[in-house]
This record gives sequence, structure tokens and C-alpha cells, in this order.
Amino acid sequence: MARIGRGDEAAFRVLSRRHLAAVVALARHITGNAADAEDVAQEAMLRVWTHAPRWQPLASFKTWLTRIVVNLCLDRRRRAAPLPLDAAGDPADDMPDAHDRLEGAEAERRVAAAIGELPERQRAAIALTYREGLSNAEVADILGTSVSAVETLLVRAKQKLRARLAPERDD
Amino acid sequence: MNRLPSDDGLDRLLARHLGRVTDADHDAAARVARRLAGRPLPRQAGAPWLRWPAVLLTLDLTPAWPRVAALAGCAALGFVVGVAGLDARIDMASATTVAAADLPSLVYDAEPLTGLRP
Repeated sequence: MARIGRGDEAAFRVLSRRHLAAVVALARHITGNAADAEDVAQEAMLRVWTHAPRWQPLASFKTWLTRIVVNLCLDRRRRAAPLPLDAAGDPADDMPDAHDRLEGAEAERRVAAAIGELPERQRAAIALTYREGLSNAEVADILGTSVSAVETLLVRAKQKLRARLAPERDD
Repeated sequence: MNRLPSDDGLDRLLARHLGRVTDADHDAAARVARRLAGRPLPRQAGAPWLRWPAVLLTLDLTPAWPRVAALAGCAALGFVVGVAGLDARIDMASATTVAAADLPSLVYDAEPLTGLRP
């Protein structure tokens, strides 16, 4: 970051390559839209470049970048459409046979669709907790809210996900 | 298959689903990296004391109220400077200046013989 703050474009591009895929994935989970995620990722990296001279190592770079991405996603103020069925991508190939692989892919699509139907702040809380592995206090800091509000977001989100996913469980 | 009898099952499901970076994410990241490489990067933020008003407008990493309060303060300062002027004292308003003027000279003409005013 010190080199980027001094205008080192090569260092910026190395940093971008290292973090862009994770940024796109996080933005996709929060916005629920692959095109928006790509725009958010580009804007986030441009903000990293622009504000690099002022960045202070008070928190980790990853936390700072995560906060930028979340703020950009929430600023769009748009209820995203549910994720397209093919946005879930291919599951990890650790299933022993084709039937299990099909079931795994279908489950991923259902989970993606269920998450896509959540309100944006609930999606953000879920993504920050389960994707980034942040504590409730860290999530509250990034979302600019209280820990109890984050807990409420998570409880409501998981209630909706449980209700959305549970009916298929014993079919 | 999708048994969710407890939070543990849902937690594992969410961690597995959300923790993945898909091929589509990698492709999107590559596109963004190409776009960033193919365009000139914007100017970096310089010394804060030169550009702090723009910082207040563009920085989205803080809560809104300090930014709004600072902008309101700037607006108030600009109003006061605009009303009083940089070369005038704010505490000497026009009313007191008028009151200090020689009113008889404004109202009465001088006597033609003596040159005195009533």
C-alpha cells in the first residue's frame, strides 16, 4: 500500500489481481447481480488507488477493502433481482457419482436463489459473516450499525433462508 | 438432502456456498483487471489541506454526519465572509456606521453668512 500511495501503478495492478476475484464474489453475493458486482469491483479498486496515499494501517487492508465494497453495494440502493440460475457456477467436484453431482448443483442454485431474495443488508450481513468470516462486531463496524442490529439481520436472514430451503429437504 | 434441522446445517451450507469463488467470478475479475490496465488511473488524493473540501464530498468511508456538519460549517463561514467582506469587521455593522455619521450635515444646509449649521 505504501508503494501504491506513492503512485506505483505496477504495485496497484499486482494488488488488484490478488484481491479482485474475492471482491467480485463478495459483491455478487451482496448485490445478487453479476453485472453490478463487476462494476462495484472496478469502482472499489479505483477507490483503493485514489485513496491509497491516505491509507493508514489502523486496520488490515482486507477490512478496509471489504468496507469499501460493502458501502458501494449498499449505495446502489436497489433490490437486486434473484441470482440467475447459472450464476452459481459449478460445484466442487468432490462427489462420487453423477447423481450426487447433479444434486449438489441443484442445491447450490437453490441456496443462491434463496440468498438473492433477501434484502440487501441481510445479504451483506450473511456474506460478511459466512464468506469473510467476520465477527458480529466487525460486521457492525463495516455496516455502520450496532452489534445487536447485526444479530437481528442475521436472525431474520437465517429464518427466511430456513423457510425458503426447508420445504425441499424431504422431497 | 437439504436437511436444515438446526443452525449447524444452515451454517455449513452457507459457509460452503458463500466461501466459493466461482469460475464466473474469476472471469469477471480478469475483465475488470483488463479494464483497469487499459485506462489511465485517476489522480490520487494529495495533501489533505489542499483538497479537503473534495474529500468531504467524495469520501464514503465515514458516517455522513461529520461530513454534513463540516459542509454546513463551511457554508456558514462563507455566508459570514460574503456578508461582511474580508476587509470589514463583522462587529461593525452598517447600522452603527450610519449612527456615527454627522446627521446635521445631512439634514440642514449651512447658513450662507456664517457658514454654521443649526
